[in-house]
Amino acid sequence: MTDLSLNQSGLFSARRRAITWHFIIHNKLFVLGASLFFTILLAAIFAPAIVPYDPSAINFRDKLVAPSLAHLMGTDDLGRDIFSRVVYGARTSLIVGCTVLALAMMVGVPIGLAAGYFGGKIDQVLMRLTDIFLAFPPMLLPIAITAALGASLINAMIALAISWFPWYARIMRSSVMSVRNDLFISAAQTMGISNMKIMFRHALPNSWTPSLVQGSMDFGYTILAAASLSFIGIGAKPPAIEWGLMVALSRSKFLDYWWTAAFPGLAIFVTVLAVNLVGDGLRDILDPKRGGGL
Amino acid sequence: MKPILSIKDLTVSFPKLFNTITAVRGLDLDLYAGQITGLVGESGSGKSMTAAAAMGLITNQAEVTGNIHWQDKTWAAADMAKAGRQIRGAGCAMIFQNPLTALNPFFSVGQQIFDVARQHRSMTTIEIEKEVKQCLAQVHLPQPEKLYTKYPHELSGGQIQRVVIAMALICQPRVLIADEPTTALDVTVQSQILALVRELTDEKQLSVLLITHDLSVVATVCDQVSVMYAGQIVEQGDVRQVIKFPVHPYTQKLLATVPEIGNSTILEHIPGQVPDLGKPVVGCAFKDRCEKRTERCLQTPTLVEAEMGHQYRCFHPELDNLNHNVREETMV
Amino acid sequence: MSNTSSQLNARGLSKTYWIGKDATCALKQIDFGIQEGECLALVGESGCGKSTLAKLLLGLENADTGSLSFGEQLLIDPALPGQYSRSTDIAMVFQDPYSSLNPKMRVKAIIGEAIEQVMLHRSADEIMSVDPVFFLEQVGMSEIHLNRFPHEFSGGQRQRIAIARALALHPKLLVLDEPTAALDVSVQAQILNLLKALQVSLNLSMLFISHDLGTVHFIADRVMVMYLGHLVEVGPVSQVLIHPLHQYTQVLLDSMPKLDPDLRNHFKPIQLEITDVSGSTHGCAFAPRCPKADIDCRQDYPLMTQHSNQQFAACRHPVAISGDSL
Repeated sequence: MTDLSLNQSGLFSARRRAITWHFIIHNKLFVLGASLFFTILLAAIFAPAIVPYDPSAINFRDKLVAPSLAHLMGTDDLGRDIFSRVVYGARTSLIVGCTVLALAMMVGVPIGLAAGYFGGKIDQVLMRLTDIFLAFPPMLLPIAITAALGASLINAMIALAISWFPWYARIMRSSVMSVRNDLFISAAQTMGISNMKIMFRHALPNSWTPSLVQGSMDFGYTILAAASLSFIGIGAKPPAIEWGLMVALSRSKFLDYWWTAAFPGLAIFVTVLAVNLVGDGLRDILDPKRGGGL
Repeated sequence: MKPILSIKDLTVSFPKLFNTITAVRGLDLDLYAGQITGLVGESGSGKSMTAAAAMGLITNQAEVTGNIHWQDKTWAAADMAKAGRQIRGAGCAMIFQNPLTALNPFFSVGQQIFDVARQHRSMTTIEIEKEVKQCLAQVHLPQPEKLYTKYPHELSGGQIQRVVIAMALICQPRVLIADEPTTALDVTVQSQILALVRELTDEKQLSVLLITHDLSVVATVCDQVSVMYAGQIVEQGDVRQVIKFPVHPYTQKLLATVPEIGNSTILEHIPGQVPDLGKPVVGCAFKDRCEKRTERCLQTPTLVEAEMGHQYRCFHPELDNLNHNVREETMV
Repeated sequence: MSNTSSQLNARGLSKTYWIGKDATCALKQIDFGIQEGECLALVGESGCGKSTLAKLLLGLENADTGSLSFGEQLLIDPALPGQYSRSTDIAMVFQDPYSSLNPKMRVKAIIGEAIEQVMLHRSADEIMSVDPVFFLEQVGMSEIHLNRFPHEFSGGQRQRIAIARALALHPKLLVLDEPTAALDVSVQAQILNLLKALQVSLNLSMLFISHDLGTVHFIADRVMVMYLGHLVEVGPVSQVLIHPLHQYTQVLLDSMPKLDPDLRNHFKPIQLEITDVSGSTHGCAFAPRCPKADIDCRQDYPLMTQHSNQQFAACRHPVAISGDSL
């Protein structure tokens, strides 16, 4: 090993490098998933700079061209470059994932926090209300909502958030309940600190990691769910660029022109995989039995 | 008298990313029949590690060296994890601190003891059942017939600890290692369990290693005592000698920190903290906290015998303390 | 026992926990008082009573009956015992230093929160300091510890931080629930010395809950002995621990292992175990295990009677001063 006594604290010191290497070796899948996800994220952010063509540019002359040097992933039935559309689609999917989860957490976490902290009647009332939403089959609620509000990506996101928040309420509630009896909560109570402060300053920071882990694992599912909704026609509508929509539009053609469905589908697969690896890895890293903690 | 179990030069260390944490350093310990040996130390002294290593309960991340001599065979301490099965349960039994987690909540008390007996002894089912009830009676549990079918959650902490002792006894061990068996119990229950252990030791001539941080427990129930500090034994000997006439500065200070009724105006405390076990120890481990420290303490002290089995590891022992009259008392 | 000049005055406090229809862990008719600047110890075995009483005093649980007052302020009104008005003069130090500090908060924030709380109730000139370092120094720590998290400290240091946090609330009474039970004996000694010094320098009253009689003898002025939710003996600490009156106190003292190996023949474990915790008997709670119990003991609950030297015991057969149990 390199001499660890010198250069102990710099950013690229030998100590830092050793710790980083150790982390990578013991969390290979996490690192793989995180790298993949990071690449997708960068691609989404810098989409305009990366793509060779305007993703919406219609060009009937080049329609349904097989993958080639000019069009890495081929073109669709309107002559649009699929590679460019896939990259732009990353934006949509990532935004969808973040928005749905943010909405679900913003609703679910406070409900779970209050239910777990107060217990008793408040817990019963809140949990029974959330159970109502749990009772809906996962696809039925979005269908019902978009039927009422009209089909669009935004409505689909709202619908998904509504179906999803009960899980966060439950997870939050159970982790708050396990922290609730810790002495530092009692100590804060004996100091006369208000319940709101105790919930947000003491209970929440010590019980939010399971929700975080769940969120990172759900990210993939939200992308899949949004793609599925678009596929059945109640999510994104043309001219939106969304992977599920792309697969839907290629439905009649993909048997002869495989690339119209394969590449968007592959994009969904890779993204969901990356996000799941990150989620699994996070769960292991944050596992208290492994000495983890955020 | 030959020792029943002999630990020689035991070292337990845990290699980590940047350093190695050495929990036990070169420890020698002998256990004799019919005697309770107290292994006393504060947290971080290595006492629980010693017992775990002797029973082969340390996991793979540790490096263990040294030998264990048991029943005319010598085993390398590093092999204890595999060889341990032959010793554990059959010749050497161990009981732990927390009675509430010691038993499986899904099985009845009788069933659990039965399973242990079945593993190690070849008897018929009926014979084993009888034996189980006998063991329950030996530990003074009332109504063994009824207790056989009870579940752990129906028993109190003290009762569970007795069940655990019964479970340890059913395999007729020669050695019993008790790791803080009464720390989690009330003082009246603790007294009962300690009296029970004493009674069983005398009746069955067991060799008992009692690990504790409570010096009063040691004074009340042990025959021999070994005081541990930072992974080594710093003083050991007959309990009447070590507790009444301690020779090592740490032992002296430790005894002075125990609040006792009738001795209540000043309580001493030991300045500083236990040394970092991740760094190699230079010389005496206690030197940074010791009033008697000199240049000599930078060398490593070895275990030296004062008299009659009373040993210490120090360059500046308080030898005036040794009372020669004690020798006559202990001989009686 | 508790007279009107007491700073903390508790009368008739009781609390029962119910599991289904079974009562467990009952506190029954607890009367006591703490004088200003006095350290009163509460001893007893685990299971029920001691911690429950602490929780009642701090409002973490609601009493079933009784009254509690601190100085002029009525904390529990006998007419409405289920309600509690918090006193800003009482602070608590808990048993487990590992979970009584928020692991996600730095020491600065932990003590800062207490200071913030105190500033809501007191005027600026009553406050000793708004700087957390002031309170850290009172417990023998310093500003280098400010930015660290609890897990970076040892058990003894964490307990000091907990004491500093309690001191930052500017209390007149500290309730300490077995504050040294989880600590090594040499660290325990440091904390006990610290508490004794603070009691003197700040004229703090203390309710010190413990199961260890040696510790109690060192730190307390008076002691109350509790058995299954009843107070069985109260008195000055040297009286009660050296010349106990109640049979249970004698049993506790006999069962305690002593540090002198020559005293091992005096080690007398009690023969029977606690089998019935709910204590629905009308007689003395200790009668089933008492070597001196008779018919009266089992039928009528003995009243707390005063013996000499401010020592009170609820026992029909108190241990004679000449020591009939030795």
